[in-house]
Amino acid sequence: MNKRIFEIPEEDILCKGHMACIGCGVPLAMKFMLKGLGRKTILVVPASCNSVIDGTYPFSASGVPLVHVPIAAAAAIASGIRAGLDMIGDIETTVAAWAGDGGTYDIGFQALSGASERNENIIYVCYDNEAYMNTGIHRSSASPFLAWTTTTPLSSPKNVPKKNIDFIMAEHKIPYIATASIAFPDDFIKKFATAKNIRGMRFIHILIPCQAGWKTNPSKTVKIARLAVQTGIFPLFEIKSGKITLNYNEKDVPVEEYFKLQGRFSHLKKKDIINIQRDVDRNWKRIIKLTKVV
Amino acid sequence: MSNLIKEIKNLPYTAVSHSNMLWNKTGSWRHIKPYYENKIAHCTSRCPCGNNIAEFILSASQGEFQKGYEIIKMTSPLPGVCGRVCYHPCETYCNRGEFDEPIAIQMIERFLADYMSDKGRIIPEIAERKNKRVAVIGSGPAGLSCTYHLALKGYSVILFEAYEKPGGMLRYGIPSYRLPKDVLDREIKDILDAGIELKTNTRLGNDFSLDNLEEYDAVYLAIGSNKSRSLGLSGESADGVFSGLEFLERVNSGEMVKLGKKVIVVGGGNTAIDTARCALRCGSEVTVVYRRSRNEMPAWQEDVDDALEEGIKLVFLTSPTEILFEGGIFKGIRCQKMELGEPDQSGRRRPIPIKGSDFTIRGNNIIVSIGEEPEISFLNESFEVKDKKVVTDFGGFSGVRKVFVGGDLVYKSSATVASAIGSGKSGAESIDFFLRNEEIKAKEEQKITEFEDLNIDYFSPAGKIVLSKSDVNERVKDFSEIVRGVSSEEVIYESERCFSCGLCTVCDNCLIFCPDMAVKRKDTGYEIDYDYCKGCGICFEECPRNVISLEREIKYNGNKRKRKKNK
Amino acid sequence: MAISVKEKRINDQQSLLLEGTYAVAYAVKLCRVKVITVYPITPSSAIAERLAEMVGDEELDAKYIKVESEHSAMASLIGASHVGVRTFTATSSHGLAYMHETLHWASGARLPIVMSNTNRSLGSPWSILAEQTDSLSQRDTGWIQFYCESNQEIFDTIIQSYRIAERVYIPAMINMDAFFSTHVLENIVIPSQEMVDSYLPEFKPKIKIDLNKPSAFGGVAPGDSYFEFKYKMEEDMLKAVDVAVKADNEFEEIFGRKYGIINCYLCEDAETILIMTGTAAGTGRVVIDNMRKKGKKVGLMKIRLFRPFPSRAIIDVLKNKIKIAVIDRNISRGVGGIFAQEIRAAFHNTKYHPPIFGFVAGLGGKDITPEQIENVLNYTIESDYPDREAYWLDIDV
Repeated sequence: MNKRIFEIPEEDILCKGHMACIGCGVPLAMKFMLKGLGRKTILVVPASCNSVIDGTYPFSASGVPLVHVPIAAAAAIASGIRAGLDMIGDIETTVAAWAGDGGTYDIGFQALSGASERNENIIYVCYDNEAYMNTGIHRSSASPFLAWTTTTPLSSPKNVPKKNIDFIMAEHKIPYIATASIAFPDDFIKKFATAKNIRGMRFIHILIPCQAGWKTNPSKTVKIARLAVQTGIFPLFEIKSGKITLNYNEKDVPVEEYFKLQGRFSHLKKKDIINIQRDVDRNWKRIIKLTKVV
Repeated sequence: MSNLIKEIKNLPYTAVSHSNMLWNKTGSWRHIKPYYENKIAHCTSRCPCGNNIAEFILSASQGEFQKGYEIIKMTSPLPGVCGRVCYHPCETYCNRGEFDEPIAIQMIERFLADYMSDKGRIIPEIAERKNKRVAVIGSGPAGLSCTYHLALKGYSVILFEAYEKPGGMLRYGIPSYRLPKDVLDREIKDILDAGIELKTNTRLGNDFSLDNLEEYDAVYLAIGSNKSRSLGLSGESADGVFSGLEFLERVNSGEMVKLGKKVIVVGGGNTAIDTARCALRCGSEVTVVYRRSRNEMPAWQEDVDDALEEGIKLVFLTSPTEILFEGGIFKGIRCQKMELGEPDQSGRRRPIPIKGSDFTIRGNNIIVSIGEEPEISFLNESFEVKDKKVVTDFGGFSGVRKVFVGGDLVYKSSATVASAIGSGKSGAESIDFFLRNEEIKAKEEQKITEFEDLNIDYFSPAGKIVLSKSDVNERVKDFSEIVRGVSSEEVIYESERCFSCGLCTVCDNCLIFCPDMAVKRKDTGYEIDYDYCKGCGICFEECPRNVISLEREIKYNGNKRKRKKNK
Repeated sequence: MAISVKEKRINDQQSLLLEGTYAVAYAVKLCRVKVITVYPITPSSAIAERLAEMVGDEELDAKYIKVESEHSAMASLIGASHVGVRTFTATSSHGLAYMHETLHWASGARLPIVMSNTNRSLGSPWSILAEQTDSLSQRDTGWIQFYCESNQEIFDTIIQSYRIAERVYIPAMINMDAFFSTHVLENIVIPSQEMVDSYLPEFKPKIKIDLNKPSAFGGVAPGDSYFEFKYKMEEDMLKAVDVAVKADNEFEEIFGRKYGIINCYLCEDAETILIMTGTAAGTGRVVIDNMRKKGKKVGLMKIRLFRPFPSRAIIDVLKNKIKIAVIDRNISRGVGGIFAQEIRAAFHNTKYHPPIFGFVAGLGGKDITPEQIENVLNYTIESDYPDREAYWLDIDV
């Protein structure tokens, strides 16, 4: 009577007992990623939530080798590990950086951009929870327009939009870019499996709701991740050798449905939502247009 | 050397982990506890028979038709009947109806019954024989159902029927184009084959009285509403005037009743529509006269549509005031137009005569089908009677020693086949309690899965199968069944549309979306590893069909720690 | 700076005329380094260039990551070293300052990375000339630090450093003066690969990334374990003094050259000792010779190993001297020259308390002339006690 919705690999590499908050989406993403990449993977984790989630010395929940590194250094350290592996003749093992939005969009960006330009043979994963959550919900350049954070309090909301990291990465002309959502595990795992078999720099961007920072009900983590896709706020796509393909074509839910589950947007006014909806629609059209570029 | 220095000597030179995090029993963080709990689907909760609809459809979706049939047989002995004549409140309340279109539940039930028709008799296991005898009076749906369930519980049952054949209203009230007689015969035979003694042509009040039933340990009265109401106008005894039930009984007994060219049917209920359509099939032109408008008609809308399609004329807001006859022969009716006023007790708008609106409808026959009521002249005063029906407690007990009442005879019964079947089942349960000298228990309140409880993100739109009927010009020529059956492929497709509300289908979502790897597989389904479950509730949220429940929990590991301390 | 003069073959294969930068590159090659990352910065850029040629020409079997910053240069080596391969980078001045965070990380993770640093001034204002404040600013990052005088010493110290670093699992920084070393040609004896291989075995760290034993590296160290790791690291750092002495002795056995962790010139009977580091020490020796001719009992100590600080070796030489003068081409703002401070600190808990005169000289590549050095020594001999932390040459003295 098994009526599976998602067909995904059975084995869990990530171990129980990790330190993620109740309802955190990060271990889910990590779990899916490792299902896609397998045990021959080395993770590079810059300062971020996962520095805590993995557990404290002398323990680790990840199930694969994991190197903790300074926040700005992920892409460079991953490059170095790759170089070291190549020199000892291990060309099979995947090296994946697993960085938060701070370690990707902001302080880690120089190293990321450098590694991308060099087309390093690594996977760089940004698990984006749209603020420096581990430090205390501080604004990042991935924080959305008008979102509340502890450094963009209601008296001075974030008045600029989120950086479009995916297209910035696309301009580095790297072989593979994808966005992935924990609400679409089969698509998610497929993208990692695809990335694994491509040589060169691969960038995967995952939007992960943070119950503490987004002020949401922990049980809604996946639901909100799904709404981000359904509303077109976080479209699922792949850019392979410059060609963009949408993986989820239905943008059929108004952005308000996404906002209303999140305390960080509770101050949004009707006109704000209308403006954001317009921007989301515009971005969606742009992507649709790009998918038609041969 | 201090101990600390010794420890430091044993440290690796760099902070490299040597173990996983399994020691960290994150279950101690939890304050909300998820657990698996199948719930009642909205459809099932509305089934008067109490059929486990979601379950039999799940079996059907996997092509396990016999299993599906067996599931129905647990609750109802008459799936072939209900699969045709039930007004299917299940479909009205089907959660999928709020999504796109409801599941064709009735057709699936009919398919399963028909599919099994040539596979031999299949009924659930019969309990150990009990040395108790029960008399069931009336072999309509309530009586048959009660008989069946009593037999399953191991009781000896004698079934009294006033007519020549068992079935009651199923046989004599419902025309064959809706319920073919072979379907009915088959299902009744299956019931009687459980060792039931049937006494036909034995009418309570005529051939025996309740007092003659002393030898039985319990009595179940289910005589139904077997008497048509009359208009109360003079001339109702004229030639050419029929009562609805009388007419249907004759037609259903196989008689081609001779009618004139023009037949007037009075009434707006199911009997009126059945009567009209039978009259049409007897070769007449039929006009139905009803005092309210179409909105207020108690007849099933679908049947009314069919009647109109077949060419029956409906005259609304019209009430007969006089029967016109010449020389003892019916000639027509004098009517007056009505208008609708304020709602009455039934909630429908009350018809109010319009003065001076009288007019005449001419015809050769009139069939009066304005409602039925039980014939209760045999009841003594110890029964509490209201609206010519018997008042009972929730278990069907009449208040009179060892007499239980079911079906249409019960005060405020809803007078449908399905509710009669359900009433027979609960009557059997009550009798069982009674005979075991136990208190009759009210049913526990069940948790029902309604549309809002589902996660509809996991369902995609898919249209309902098309149900077809025989060609209208052909079907009016005889009494053969109108609604066509469907293929097994269609049934599987339709069953797969079912959301399986409240029923675990082992879809893996809880397992996949658990951030704490705290959901484990077991033989049939899953279990939660409470050592690690942090109680986020994502499994609850992502279960498409409301199989996981949450409860507040004070402390999980707190207690555990305490226990350890005590050791 | 014509390329042709940077490298000149002389008589036999064993000897090359090399600038300091090239000396570094040749040493790195002979050490069979596997991963190299260099972000070019004047005046160490030629190291990046020569290594790029060597890797490009397949003279050297290594991965050369052309990183976008010094932060990434050191970070990449942290990654590579975790895999268990020998690594190298070169930088200078601002580049080193930009690495600061990763220097801590590399030593904390106990990765024996070797780096050459060209001592160059830090802005503002801009200057690209010699000064040691850049590396001395990194003295607390947990790196072994050498200060070299000649190009041969630079070459040899690179080779020694791998041996030391890989024994104590602590990274090492080899410092040399901007331009005075980097851009000066010297005749360098280049040993054979076999000789180097016999001195420097393959790098096989006890702990490295192992897919069969998945572990996390450098995770949060809770409770006292951070403190304990730091204690353990300090133990090994202190051990590095003896390891360095031993490595130097073993080096001598194979290569016939030895430098000492400190180097003393005419110190035995000297009453006043001048302490210097880097290329300026060579000028210092000339001055000592001249003053000895004039009958002055002076000697010179060159400090080669700065971290770990070889206090015992230094005190042993200096304990009975009458006065000590330290010329620092560096400054810790507010206390004066850094070597002077370190030596004062080394004496503090001993029973010996010779007056220690600190002199700040040559910042921003300003020449340190023999006249200045003689002035320093004369001032020290003539004064009873210093009246300030540091005298600025040509201004105060």
